[in-house]
Amino acid sequence: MHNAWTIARREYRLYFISPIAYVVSALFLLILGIIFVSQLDIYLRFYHPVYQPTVPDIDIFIGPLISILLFVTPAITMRSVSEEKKNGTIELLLTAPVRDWEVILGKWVGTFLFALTLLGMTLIYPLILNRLLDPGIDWGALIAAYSGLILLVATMLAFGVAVSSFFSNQIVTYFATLSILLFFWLFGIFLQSTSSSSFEALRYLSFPPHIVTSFLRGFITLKDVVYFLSMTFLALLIGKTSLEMRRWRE
Amino acid sequence: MKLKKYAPFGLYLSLVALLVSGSIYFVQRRLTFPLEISLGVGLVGLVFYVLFDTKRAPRAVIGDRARHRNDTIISTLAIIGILAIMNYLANKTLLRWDLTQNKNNTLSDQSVQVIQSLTDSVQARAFYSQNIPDEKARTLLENYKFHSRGKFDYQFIDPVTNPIAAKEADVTRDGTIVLAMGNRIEHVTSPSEQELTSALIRLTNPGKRTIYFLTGHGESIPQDQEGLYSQLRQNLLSKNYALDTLNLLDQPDIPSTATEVVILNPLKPLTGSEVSALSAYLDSGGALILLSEPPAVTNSDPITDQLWEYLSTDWGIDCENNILIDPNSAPPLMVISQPLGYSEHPITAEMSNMVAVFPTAHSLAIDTSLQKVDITELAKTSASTWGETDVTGLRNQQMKPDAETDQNGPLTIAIAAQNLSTGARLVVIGDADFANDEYFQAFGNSDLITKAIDWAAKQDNLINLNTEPDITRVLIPPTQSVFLLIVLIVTILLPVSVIMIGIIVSLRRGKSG
Repeated sequence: MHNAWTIARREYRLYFISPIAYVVSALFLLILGIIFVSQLDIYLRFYHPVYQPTVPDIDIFIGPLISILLFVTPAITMRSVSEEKKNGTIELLLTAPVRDWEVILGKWVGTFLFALTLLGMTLIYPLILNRLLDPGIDWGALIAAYSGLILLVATMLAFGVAVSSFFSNQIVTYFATLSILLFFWLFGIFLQSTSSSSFEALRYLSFPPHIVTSFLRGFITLKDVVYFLSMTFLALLIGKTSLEMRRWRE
Repeated sequence: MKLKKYAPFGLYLSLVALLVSGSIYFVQRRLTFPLEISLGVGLVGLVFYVLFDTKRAPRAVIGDRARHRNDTIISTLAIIGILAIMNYLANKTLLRWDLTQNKNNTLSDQSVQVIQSLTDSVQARAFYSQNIPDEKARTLLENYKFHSRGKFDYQFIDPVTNPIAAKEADVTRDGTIVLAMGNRIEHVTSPSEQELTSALIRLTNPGKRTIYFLTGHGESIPQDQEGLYSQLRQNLLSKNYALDTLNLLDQPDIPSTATEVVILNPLKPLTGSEVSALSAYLDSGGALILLSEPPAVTNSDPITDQLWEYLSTDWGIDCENNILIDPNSAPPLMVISQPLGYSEHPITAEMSNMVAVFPTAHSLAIDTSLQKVDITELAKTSASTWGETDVTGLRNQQMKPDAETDQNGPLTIAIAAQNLSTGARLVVIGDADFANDEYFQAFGNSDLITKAIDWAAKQDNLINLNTEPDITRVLIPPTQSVFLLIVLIVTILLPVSVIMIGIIVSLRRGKSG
């Protein structure tokens, strides 16, 4: 476990050396900021305490935040293992006294810490909303929503790390991860409107039913927590198996 | 053999198919057609691999490297199995934590009891177009589903894109939830726990509820034909009310099956015996709805009308002989209730931001000195409205308030009263046209009349729910400069700061490197 933590710390530090990380973070905050003020402006234009009493809540940025994260998380993870493979340093890492799962876990924890830093910066939006509402925002709903976001991001990052363990080209890794994440997100949305039981398994495996109808509504459900932890674990297992497969071919 | 190089794909296909099979079975827990196909594909893939790679296939099972690989595959499958079992068990539990301040996602114990005692499955169809927010309904329906142990499910239908489904379900209003249990249906027009639980109770206890419409005095009767009160009729039928007519001149007593009696725009006064019959009915805890047009329109005199006399002495409700004029309305005879003028009452509870329009209405007065009656002024007009008493002048288009004879607004236009000793309920509204087909869908008109009928029939609140009181949030609009500051912070300051930190880090690294 110590090795995993060492790799995680190194990985996290690397993000703050790479200029791409700063550009991605700035773009992430710029897009989300524009959406936030646009939404806020709409509410301010049409708000009336009697005739149009709907007030803006955390949904005005949480929904767009998830959409942006779908595109940002592959960018965070695309270099994790792929770069090591491209530079040939993966061989050194695998021959070092480090287990395969420690490599994958360390890489994932590093990306997760970076994603948490990004998420932390988005807390400015609820703080602004809190100032504009009387008696403030529902902090419980915010905690539930961010808990869901953290679990979702953890899963998406795990998929990203797993995919990056298969490819040495970062662009390929980005688009492969993006395709998988969009697939897991979009078919969930598509299947929400179908009632056929034949799609129950696919519906269960998709992300939206586990976050939209629970965390984003202000409650934490054990089954959804278990789902996200399982998916994260499964993705990391795939990543670890991918590294092991290199040994089978040797 | 050329096909040999494709043999591994058979193995991969087989593994993926088996994984999918496991997932399908995990969720459906029975042999379904998709599961059969998936298993079939898995088998075909395996056979393909064994047949076309006769040398490697046995090595895949024996040999050192193969053993290592097999160990990995077995342990991976075992972990997947453990994860599947964990998910299965987690799905079986109802453990969840509602973190919202208002406990929005927590149903009251009474509602949970009702939903868990359902004897048959209930399917809810929520007809919501994109024009109205459906978040509250979704949350509520999801909560009912969560607690139902599989007995309650729901789906959302857009009545704009699927008008046939809306028509089949007799939905005339956007935002209606139709609950169906077998052949019985219940319509819920405002998504609240109170409404949904009451509707579920009505579904599970389908006692006959008959509304009698009084006849014999030129009253309007809700009929199928358009132009009368067909939409009101349709609405009441969809709420499982049985509708019938009642002629008290022909039949002296009100039937014991009557849930309530509605007097809809009588053109002639009721006789003493009819009023006595109504009085006796109300004394026994009955319910009455009176929708009356201004006396000047029906050429009647409220002073000599025995029904108004009874309502005045026994209920403290008086009819004022005027026609309401709202100079800000077009036409001025169309009076609009003020959203801020609604009282706290089950009838108007969901109408907080919705007006109701009353064409040709008269005002009502109340006497609150009667201790046995609990009176609520449901709706009031605006302050600019006045009660015109000079009908002749009105006919000559002279619309000016007379300070001596005309009352100035806000004036009461709808009243609900309950006799505290007998439990009898009474709703009096100084207009009848507002509920006809022309105005039924206008603003909150359908809400007002249907909620009034439900309340009088004691169908509005079949259960007392101990729910958390709603927390109303108010937006404090920022000043222009504060809003500009917010825009500056979130769109410029924050992203630029990140870039600046990046540049500083790069420069420092450059120096140190």
